[in-house]
This record gives sequence, structure tokens and C-alpha cells, in this order.
Amino acid sequence: MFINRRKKELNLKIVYYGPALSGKTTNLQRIHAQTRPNLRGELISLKTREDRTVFFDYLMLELGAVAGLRPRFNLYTVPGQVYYASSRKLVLRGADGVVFVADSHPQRMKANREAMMDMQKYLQELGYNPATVPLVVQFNKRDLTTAMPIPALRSTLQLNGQHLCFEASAIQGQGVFDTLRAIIKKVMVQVQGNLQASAASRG
Amino acid sequence: MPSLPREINFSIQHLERIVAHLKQMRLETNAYCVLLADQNGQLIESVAGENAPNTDEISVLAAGELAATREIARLLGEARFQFLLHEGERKNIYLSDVSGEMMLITVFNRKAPIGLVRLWTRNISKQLDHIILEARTEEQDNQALDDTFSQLVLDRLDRSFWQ
Repeated sequence: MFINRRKKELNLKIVYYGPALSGKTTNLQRIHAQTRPNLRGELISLKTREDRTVFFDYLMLELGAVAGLRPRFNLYTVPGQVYYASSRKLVLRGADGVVFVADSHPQRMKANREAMMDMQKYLQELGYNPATVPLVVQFNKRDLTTAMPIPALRSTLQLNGQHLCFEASAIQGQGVFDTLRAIIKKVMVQVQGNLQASAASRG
Repeated sequence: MPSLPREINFSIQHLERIVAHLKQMRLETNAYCVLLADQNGQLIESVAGENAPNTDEISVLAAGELAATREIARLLGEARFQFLLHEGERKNIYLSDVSGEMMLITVFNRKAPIGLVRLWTRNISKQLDHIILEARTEEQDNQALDDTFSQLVLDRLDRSFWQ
């Protein structure tokens, strides 16, 4: 979070994390395509020639003035491929909230589990408490006829009832906005709580 | 997230001083834009002319570049590289580390002497160092947000998205 009080901006960072090809970039592409052009920047993608994310994708949403402050949401994806581990950790740095995009394909359960474990490890290494970081889980690719049942996905990712989860088909645009709205809500609640605590501690 | 490194909390006065330094840098080097951003790519302040690129996007990409360059330095046994320079046919970009946690970015005309940009980068970086140190050590005084703020943001978001 960065508040620029001169420009009255509230800058927040949300990272879409998940295994390779789970649909992180597709989420951002959908958000870019479906947001009013005056409220979003360009979708920046650092890709390989094979169209795979090499470092990150980036999209800014700027919603205009709200109660005298301009909230700006910096949305990032991490590269999912195994050998870009250090990039994933770098992109997570400074995150205010995380969307974990899980792949519903039955053959991707191991990749889902490993990505979740890696994410928690990196968050910890970066000084976060993984239990308190605003997190929303998206079960993507629900349009697949072979999609794993939700309870099996929950069990694979070791999610309890407290985790906020959404079913999605990012390629069809379903669930993308609900996921974004949920993480923004969680991040805002956390930011508000932190600022109130900080104000209270100053008396 | 109490264990996170303390965020730098710039006051309006700090930000005004930063802008004044960036303006001076732009004036002296006739740059298209001069930016101060943190190493996560978060733009802190910028001054830009009419034909300047999108400064938010430049910050984000520059942060990626510096992160990759830091890793290259590590592989070569160097503590860090002082700066990065890209020369184009018409425009150049100069990225420089400030205080080990920020970066100063200057986009300038190919005709401007690179030595001049280096000189001013060094001068302005020292001034920015002082401000960053001050901001880091001063008491944070962020105002709490109004209770309805989150809901207002969500309402605005709902109107921003075509379902």
C-alpha cells in the first residue's frame, strides 16, 4: 500500500498467483476487456515467444475519486512455470492481497498443491503472515467436462471454510469479476483495519 | 502484517520536496520525464512533459528490469550495478538506484549528453536520500479511512465493469 497524500491516491497491489496455465493472464485479459477504458491502463505482458508469461502481467484500475481519495489497484500475475520461482517471489513483494487461481483439470492437482505451498512459503519469507494475508481462491476452468469436484479441489489445496472461493471460467468471463470484487473487498477491509489501528496507537 | 518491513510514509511536505527535485532534474537535462519509484514498481512521484510515456507503466517495467539486473550482479559477484542505460534512436532511459530501495528514472532526448544526466542523477539522488531517510524515521500519521469507504469503492467498481 502506498498513500500519496499530495495527489490523494491510495495505491494497492493485488497479485494473481497459481500454477502454470491455470488462467492468471486470462483473468487480467478479461478484466482489461470488460472495464471502461477511461478507468484502466494498458495490459502489459512480459511474454516469451510462445506467449507464456516470463515475468509478470500488469494492469492498473483507477476508479476515480471516492470520498476524496483515488483508489488505484495494481493487478499483477506471476509466471506459473516452475523455473520462474524467483520471479514469483519478486512479484509477490509488496502485495496487499492475493488471488490464487487453481486449475480444475484433474491432472493439475499436484501442480495446484505445489503452487499453494510455494506461495505460502514465499509470503512467509517476505515477512507476511500467510494466515492473515487477504486471499481469495478461484477454481478456474469449471467449463471443462472433466473438472474436478469442488470438495476435491478444496481438499487438495487444504482450504477450510474460512477461505473465500469462487468458481470461474475465465476464458468465458465467468467468475472473473466476482473474484476481483471479493479480493478488493478483503484488501480494503485489511487496509481500513491497519489504518484505524495505526491512528488509535497514536492516540 | 506487523512483521513486514515498515513502509515509507511520505508526508505532503516530503512529496513536495521530491517533486521540486524531480522538476529541477527535468529542467537541467531537458528530460521527457523524471520519476521516483520504489523497487516494487510503485510510482512515488513524477514530473513529465506533454509527450511523456505513461509513468506508472514505466515504473513497473523498470522495477522488473532492476530486479533482473540485481540478480545478474549477484551472479557476477558484484554487490550491485549503479545504473542501467538504454539508448534508442530518439529516446534514452536511465535507471539508477536510490538508497537501495528506490529508483530514479529519467527518459531523455538522445541529443542530451549522457554525462549531464549522470551528473544530475548523482546530485538529485543525494537529496532524495535525505528525504527518504527523514520519511523513514518520522512518525506515521496516515488518517483512518471513513467506515463507508470500502463500500463506496465496491459500488464504483460495480459500475466500472461490463458484465
